[in-house]
Amino acid sequence: MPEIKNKTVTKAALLGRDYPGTRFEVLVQVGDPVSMGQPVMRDRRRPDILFTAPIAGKVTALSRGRKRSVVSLQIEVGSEPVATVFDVQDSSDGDSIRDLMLRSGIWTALRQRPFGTIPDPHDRPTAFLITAIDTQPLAPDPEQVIALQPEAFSKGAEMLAKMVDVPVYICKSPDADLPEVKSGQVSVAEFAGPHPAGLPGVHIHRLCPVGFGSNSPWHIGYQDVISLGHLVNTGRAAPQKVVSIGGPALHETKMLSVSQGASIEEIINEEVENEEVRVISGSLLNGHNASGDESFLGQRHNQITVLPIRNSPVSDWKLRSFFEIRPGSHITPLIPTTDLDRAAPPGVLPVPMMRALLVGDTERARDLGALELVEEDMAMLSFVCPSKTDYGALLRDVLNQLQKEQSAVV
Amino acid sequence: MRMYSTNGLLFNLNHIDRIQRLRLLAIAPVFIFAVLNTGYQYLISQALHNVTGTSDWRSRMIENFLGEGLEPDIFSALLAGLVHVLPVLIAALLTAGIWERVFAAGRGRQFDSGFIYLAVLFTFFMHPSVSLFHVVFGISFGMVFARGIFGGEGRSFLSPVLVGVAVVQISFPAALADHPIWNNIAGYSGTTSLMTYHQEGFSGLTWSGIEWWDAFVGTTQGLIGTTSVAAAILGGAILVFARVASLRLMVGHIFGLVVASIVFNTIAGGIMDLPWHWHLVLGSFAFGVIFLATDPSSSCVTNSGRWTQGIIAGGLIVLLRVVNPSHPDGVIPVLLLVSMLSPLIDHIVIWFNIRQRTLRHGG
Repeated sequence: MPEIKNKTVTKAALLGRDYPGTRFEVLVQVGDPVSMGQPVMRDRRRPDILFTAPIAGKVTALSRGRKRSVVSLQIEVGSEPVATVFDVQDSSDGDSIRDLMLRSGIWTALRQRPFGTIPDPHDRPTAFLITAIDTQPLAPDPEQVIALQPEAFSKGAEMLAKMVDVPVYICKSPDADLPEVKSGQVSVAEFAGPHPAGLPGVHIHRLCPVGFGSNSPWHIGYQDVISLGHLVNTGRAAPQKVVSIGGPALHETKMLSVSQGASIEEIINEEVENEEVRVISGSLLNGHNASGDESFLGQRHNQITVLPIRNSPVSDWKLRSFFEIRPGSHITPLIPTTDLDRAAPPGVLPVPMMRALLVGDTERARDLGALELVEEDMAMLSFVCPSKTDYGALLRDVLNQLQKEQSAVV
Repeated sequence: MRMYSTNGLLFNLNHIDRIQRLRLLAIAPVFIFAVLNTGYQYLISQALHNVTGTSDWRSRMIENFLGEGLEPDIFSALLAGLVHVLPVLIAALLTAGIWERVFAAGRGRQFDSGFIYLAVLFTFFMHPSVSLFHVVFGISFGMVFARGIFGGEGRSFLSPVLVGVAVVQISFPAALADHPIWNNIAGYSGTTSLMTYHQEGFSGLTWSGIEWWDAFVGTTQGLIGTTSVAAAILGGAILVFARVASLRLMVGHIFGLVVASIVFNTIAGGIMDLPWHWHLVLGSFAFGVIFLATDPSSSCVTNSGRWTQGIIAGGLIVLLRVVNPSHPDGVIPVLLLVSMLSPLIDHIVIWFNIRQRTLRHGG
């Protein structure tokens, strides 16, 4: 097992892009001191959902994007670390656990399908999945991370089972050895194989397929389960999570223990000697570019990928520059090679879905199963398709449209 | 919403250039075999029929290079083959390149090297003694009406090669039908071995010196590049292994052909008796299926659709071969027809997929 290095950072942030479809109401102002676990933002539509500070310190910046959406809320570490202590005495029934998750901000780690948004606290899921498998390139091994705090993981899973009161599946790889969870509701589902096998979308497709608004499973990552267990055991939010840092620009993949939303610039300054790199929060396939106001670890990301910056490869055909008519005007088409079938999310016809997304046909995309998917499920298709289209972003547009229509009906 | 890679790493792994390189690699074995076999067939046919003093410029060129009365060794076969293949290839490449350039300039898009593959494929479907004017005419038609006006690579619903070859076959049906040297080829539409069989049965084939293995390896007279099933399979293996072409589509064609031949064998005699393993190796079936039918842009995009398309096409090829003696090969028209059918097949597959999804969720 690789050594896990503890890395303290001086800056951390909450990123708006981690929560698609959420409009934030900021509760603090730039310059305010905050303690770790203190609410700093909340969901404008569902004020019960609180977003809490990942570290204690001072709010240093609030950067906003289009339509005054929140890009990032940055916090710089203060002189003394103060942590909010939550009352965890009463965690016996579902409602009190739900309340604790909302107060501590762990609720925001939950995701629901369809749409991949934070679920509504008043809703009940039809199934609950704990993703304890990660098949993305260079990702940390969940088995090893859970082995650091096995009691916290079991406790967290038990609490979640108690809270949702529906079947809970722990999705793991067949050879992973996870701590036992003492709850009749919890069962283990095993998934083997290369990359899409570890995505919640695949697990949901197998275990509890999403339909036209009738079925809404929730899922959560294994590190957030550990955080919940830690919270229930100690009353304080878990200060750190384990991430791997690796990629073609680094010699080896390392494991680090950092705070939620930690500043990636600070992390890589130590690790990377070569200055010309591009850093991605998350995996090579569907991570986010970490630069500027967004160079912080994403909420659902368990890894940091570092890529060397290279100039575009020299065209294999030297005459091309001779024939170039308008540089950069080359829009490559979608060529439906059989590669795409292997990269497709299960049960979805890849090319019809990609075509529907390309032309923005919301209805057809929904009929073909867009409600089962989020951006990360389309990442492999973007990767393989020669047209270099970001199908995840197109899918999000379609999902936003569908969500708007659904809320208009309700 | 485009991710043009600034780092040149992340999104270049399956670039369109890779697909085009792989395609050229896949036709390389066919090309080598085509040159050698065309030269070899020319030389043995020349010796057999002792045709001299033809006004054909190709023959004169070969005589100038090599003298008369040659032994068909590998060097002279290569040279005679190049004399036949290169002018056609150069004419096709130049014409296709010019059209590509014209459309690229007209539409303000980048010049796309995909036309090279098309020109080579088109060359393979030409008669070894084809008039260069017909080459220019055919590839122009294909490049303009099946590629350029739709927006180029990957946007046309028919393969430009198929359209070009079909237009040449339809426009010049009688051309080169009784060539003194290429007397086993029925003009531009391919080998006469099927017709020979139709008229004379197996004895006809034996008399023409065609064994099954000859037809499989491809040492028979035929269109420039379509004779060798072995070389086509080698290229097809590259395409399938690189996951550019669909193996399902290819196997579907073979399955359709086998089933249809067995059905016709049990129904009646005559050419309907031709067993399936002969259907597989005669004419341009193997080459057409591996390189033209599997063109990803003009075939089905769903796996069930690919099976269906393949089986329909394989069956139709046999049907056209056995009940329509005026057209010996039948591969080109069938592939065109099925290409046009493929969006409909996909539409039905998508409809089933949507219906299944709706049923799973109870409406």
